[in-house]
Amino acid sequence: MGLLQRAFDEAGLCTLSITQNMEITAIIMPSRALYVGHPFGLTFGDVGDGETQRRVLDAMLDAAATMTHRGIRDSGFEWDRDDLRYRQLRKQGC
Amino acid sequence: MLESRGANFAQIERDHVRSRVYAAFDWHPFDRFSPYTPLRVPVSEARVAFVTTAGVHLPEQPPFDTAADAGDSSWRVIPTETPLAELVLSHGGYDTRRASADPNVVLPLDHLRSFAAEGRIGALSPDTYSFMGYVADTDRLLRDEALAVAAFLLADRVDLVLLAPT
Repeated sequence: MGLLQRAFDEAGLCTLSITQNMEITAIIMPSRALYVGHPFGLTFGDVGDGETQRRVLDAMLDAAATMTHRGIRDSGFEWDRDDLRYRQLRKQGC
Repeated sequence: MLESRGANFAQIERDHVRSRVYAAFDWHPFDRFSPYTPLRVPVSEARVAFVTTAGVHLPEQPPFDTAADAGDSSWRVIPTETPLAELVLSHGGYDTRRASADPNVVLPLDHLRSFAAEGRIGALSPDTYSFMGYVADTDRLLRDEALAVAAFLLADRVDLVLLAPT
């Protein structure tokens, strides 16, 4: 994702991405990213949780409009309903 | 559950890919941010495009190659008006069952369409672009594929490109 964003940035497009892994994004260094601590495969929230999905999308639009410096903004979205993300990050399950 | 911010998940990911899939894999590090183009219009007037790496495609399009060790850098164009129920997923890097049950978890087109109808964004680009997030050999992605999609986005005069991984 970060490499794609870099290419779009270089082409002159205005971009804003979600990152679910700050360490990787810190290596790739795309222009502007919003950190969302959700599990992989549930980027915008849980199945059927339209409210959270819309809130994450809202946060993306807000970041696109208000981030005036390059870097990573922490959205504050975290995942506490189970250990799915914890296991995914450690390659202990999907 | 709290995750340890002390763990180096980039290294864990790299080691996992190296040991299981693609021994030559390494991150492509950069020492500076890519250029930043400010949003030139209010969000409520912006023409917005969405790019996903969820491996989403139309059933009549060829699936992404989930068996290739080096990944698949190809991409698919999905008309943004496509009902989400018509989309299928092919991606080896995450469990697609949840996204198959509710594609909005990775590709929130229902919500983007609502935002456009509500005037919270100006308009949606007629096309959404989909990649499959596992691309270990990035040469072709950077040399050809990303630039081709960038050209389409520029031709469509989008004001903002939103990108979401899985």
